[in-house]
Amino acid sequence: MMENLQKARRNGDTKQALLKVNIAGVELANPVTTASGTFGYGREYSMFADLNKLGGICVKGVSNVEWKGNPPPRVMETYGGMLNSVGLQNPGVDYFIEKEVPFLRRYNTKIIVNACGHSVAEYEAVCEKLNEADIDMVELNISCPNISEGGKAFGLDPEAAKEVVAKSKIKLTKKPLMVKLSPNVTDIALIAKTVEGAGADAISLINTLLGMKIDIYKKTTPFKNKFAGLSGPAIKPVALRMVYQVHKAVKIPILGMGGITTGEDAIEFMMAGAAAIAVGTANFRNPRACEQILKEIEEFMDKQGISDINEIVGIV
Amino acid sequence: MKKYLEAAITSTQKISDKIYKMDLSCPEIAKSSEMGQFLNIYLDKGEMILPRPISIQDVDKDKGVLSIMYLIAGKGTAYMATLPVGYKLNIAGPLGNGFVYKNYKKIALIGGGIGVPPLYCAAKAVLGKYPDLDVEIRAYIGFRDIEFVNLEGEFKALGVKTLLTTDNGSYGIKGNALEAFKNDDFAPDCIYTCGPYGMLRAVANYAMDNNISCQVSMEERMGCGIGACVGCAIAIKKGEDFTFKKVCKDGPVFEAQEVLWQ
Ligand SMILES: Cc1cc2nc3c(=O)[nH]c(=O)nc-3n(C[C@H](O)[C@H](O)[C@H](O)COP(=O)(O)OP(=O)(O)OC[C@H]3O[C@@H](n4cnc5c(N)ncnc54)[C@H](O)[C@@H]3O)c2cc1C
Ligand SMILES: Cc1cc2nc3c(=O)[nH]c(=O)nc-3n(C[C@H](O)[C@H](O)[C@H](O)COP(=O)(O)O)c2cc1C
Ligand code: FES
Repeated sequence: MMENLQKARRNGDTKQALLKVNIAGVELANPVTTASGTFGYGREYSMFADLNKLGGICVKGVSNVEWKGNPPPRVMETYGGMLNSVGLQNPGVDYFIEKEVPFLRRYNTKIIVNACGHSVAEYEAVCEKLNEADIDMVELNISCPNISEGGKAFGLDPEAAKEVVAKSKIKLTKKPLMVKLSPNVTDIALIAKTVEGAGADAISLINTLLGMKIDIYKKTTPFKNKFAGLSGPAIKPVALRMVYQVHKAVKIPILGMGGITTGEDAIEFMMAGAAAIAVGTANFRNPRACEQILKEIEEFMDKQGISDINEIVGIV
Repeated sequence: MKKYLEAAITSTQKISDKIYKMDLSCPEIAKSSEMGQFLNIYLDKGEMILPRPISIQDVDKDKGVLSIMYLIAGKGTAYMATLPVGYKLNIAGPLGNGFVYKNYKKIALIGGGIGVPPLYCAAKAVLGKYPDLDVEIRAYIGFRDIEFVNLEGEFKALGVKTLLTTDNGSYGIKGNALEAFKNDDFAPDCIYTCGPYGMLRAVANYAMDNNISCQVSMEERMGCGIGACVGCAIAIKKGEDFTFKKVCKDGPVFEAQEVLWQ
């Protein structure tokens, strides 16, 4: 560790060397990434923030063909959080690879692609294309409803999760496969172990918690799908607990997320076992949240005399 | 160029119990603001995590001041009304695509409630930018009740003929803004409209039936407000089909015939 510090100091880039983390063979310059769906494909935020400062950008979910998404309203604020029912609107993987990847590649950051599908075949199709694309990692979003099995999300059923991960893994010969877990299960460790067994190289969590809103004057549910995904500071303690449980259950690295808004939040997730973290809803509240969080992580390390961020991963 | 910056409140004004005005010093955003664009107002309250989208009501590019006018609609706008002069807020802007001026000679502004402020911004911008074109602008502005009336005097000061209505007749003509427009003898090349959905739909349908070009400023719940989250979807026609576009980035102003009205 001291050796690292000295080597880094000699190279004149103290902070960078000490912030480097590795997820399934992909080296991130620092542990701060963006959570899928909250950062688009990076373009919009590039006007407000320096994308080069991000360890990685995880883009909005892409499917094998264009998805229209859900009718409005799609978002609503809650106390300390928000509900969303975007329905994975996206232009499809071909458009993404052609138009968005070259833009993202201009920045010195890693590209993580959130992939979604309504059937195992759709996941396979999108993974097959991403395998050949100029990206760094695939994050399999297994929270999509499995249309061929009646709409239950893949990530809620260990058997379905196992199948979709194993089959996607076969297609992804050149890219590491991270699997994103849904928190809407009774035993998160069981799902985590299952996807590890099925060949996942890393795990990310948590996706949104299933929530609901009722319009008491109209006596209706404003979201067409009735339920919507809760994110933001309100879910942080739940997310942290799940990262901790998964860390105890698997050996593969974890990308932790759920309500992270400050550097201290990020440190908590890393101490619970996350090798890196993702910032989601906090980007809405502050378009420069990621930079701010990174700065606060560095300050914490300085104050606490932590020379390498990897030291604290899973320390609790 | 969109910017995310700190802006100091330079003045606040209570227009009525429900409506407030705030001036923000932010030269960098003011200088590139166009009519019909909006700002994200970031509230530094822990439990309120989403920015509030508020239209630009007025811009003074020389002084670098942006004005907004807002209705107390909930806890965020109620909080805004408590902020004192000198307080610094984070804002992002100018956001979205606003109204477009295409050599129109006559423009009708049809506004409802808190949809009126961006129309004032448009009137001032067109008259200010093209003083030699002799553009005639008339404003038809409707409110639920006298409590919600705003900007009547300001329109008149611009030399814009203004017809004001209230639903209950508590002030101005009893009725609504579209009726006031229909009853007036004015044949515009274009209508700019902003207000509640029902009014926008009625104005859009009337404009389409009468072959008047019409630009509508739409409203939708927003997440990021800058085009990244696809939270603010609106159905836009695409041949026989439709596609969801973003109010915050592709709009808020759309052509009336583009919108798939519900
Ligand atoms: C493009 C655009 C321009 C706007 N311009 C103005 C303006 O110039 N003046 C003005 O008074 N209002 C304007 N609004 C509406 C304004 O954004 C809402 O009234 C405001 O966000 C309410 O916030 P709140 O915290 O007081 O209400 P709450 O109900 O407490 O807010 C909760 C959440 O719902 C959202 N929300 C509530 N009502 C609306 C609404 N009608 N539209 C969109 N989001 C809403 C809030 O942003 C917040 O995220 C505009 C809306 C849009 C989309
Ligand atoms: C508007 C919105 C859109 C999202 N879209 C996706 C998505 O496309 N794919 C995905 O795996 N997760 C998606 N998520 C979930 C986030 O990536 C993240 O897991 C979750 O919001 C928790 O983190 P946060 O509390 O920091 O936002 C979305 C979240 C939000 C708020
Ligand atoms: S509010 Fe996020 S895309 Fe419009």
